Amino acid sequence: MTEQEFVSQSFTEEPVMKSMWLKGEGQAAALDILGHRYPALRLRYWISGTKSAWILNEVGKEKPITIGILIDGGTIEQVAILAYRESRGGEIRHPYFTGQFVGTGLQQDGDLDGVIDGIAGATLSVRAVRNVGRYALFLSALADTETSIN
Amino acid sequence: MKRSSKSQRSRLARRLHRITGALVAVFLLFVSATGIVLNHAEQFDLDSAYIPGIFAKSYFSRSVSITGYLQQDKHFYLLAEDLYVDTGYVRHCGRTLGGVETFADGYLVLCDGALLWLDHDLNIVDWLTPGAGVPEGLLGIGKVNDHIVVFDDRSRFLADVNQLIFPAVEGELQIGESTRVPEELLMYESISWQQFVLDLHSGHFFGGLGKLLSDVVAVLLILMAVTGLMLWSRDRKPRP
Repeated sequence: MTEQEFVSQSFTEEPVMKSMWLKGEGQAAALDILGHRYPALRLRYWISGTKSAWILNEVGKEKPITIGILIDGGTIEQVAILAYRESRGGEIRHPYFTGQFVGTGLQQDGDLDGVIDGIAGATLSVRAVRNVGRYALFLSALADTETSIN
Repeated sequence: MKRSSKSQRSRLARRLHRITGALVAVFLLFVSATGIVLNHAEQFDLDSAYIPGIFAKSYFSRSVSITGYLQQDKHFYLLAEDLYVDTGYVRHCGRTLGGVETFADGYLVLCDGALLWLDHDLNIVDWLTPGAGVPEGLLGIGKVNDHIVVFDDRSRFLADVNQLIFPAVEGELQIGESTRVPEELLMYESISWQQFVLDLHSGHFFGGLGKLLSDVVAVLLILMAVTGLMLWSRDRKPRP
């Protein structure tokens, strides 16, 4: 699935593409959730109604995994692996893994409120997707806050 | 007559023992010294310090030719699909580096049809893909009237990465030429001191000659051991 296909399939209506500058709060959360600063100062998301779609990159072991996350009202509606570049751990692309994220949200402590089972031999990739899910939920809440302030 | 022959053998053994001892002494001192250094490699941080690129170049003793793009005295190039600027890793780029251009807000790099925006300090500002409105199938990047333009095999598009708009544009296109990346940049941080000392220790650094030298020293050591045993057994025999 390409990034455009992910975005177009995520919404029934044409979404609006927005940009978010990752500064203090956004980068501090990245440091906390991902363990490092997000490797870009600006990223885009698509929004329509209560839904927002995020495309984020996170390194599993050596290469970045491009992950699409669709969020609706504070919970994950879909996770899609848009580009997997690692030599091992490609099982995370399968729906039996990505489907576990559906309906999960963030707990008070910033962790996911659902259980995500790992995959033997794909520990780092699983961790990357789980962290990106958490980060996307945080960014979605941040975007909602910024929108309500504006 | 018998005694004289024994005495001659003994002198020969002593002589051989002395000569082989002198010959292997240098080698043993070298191996022992590098061995001690390797034993304490972690304390000396030898695994995280690298030999200078200019030495690493001669270490490999083969030529490496990689082309990239030179912008504002900085070399942009790919190694194993990762983008490097001079000696620093930037991010995964992909199989092709389509070109690099500078503009007021930094650099734009064309990576496998996506645009990577770096600020002047080489921080990643944005990674722009067709999902963000970048035209699909881009082949190169250049300038038209000092504005950055990206192009495919049919059209040219003005690249406004601030507004994220890519309108079609006409005009004379100027494209930066690719240049060869200096080898010392490619070799930078390629060989750790630990690896270097280990290769000296094992003789790999000297290639085929190192192997031959190790063989010769091994034969000399055998000879030394045999002559040593001979002398030892002779000295233990009670003299009449």
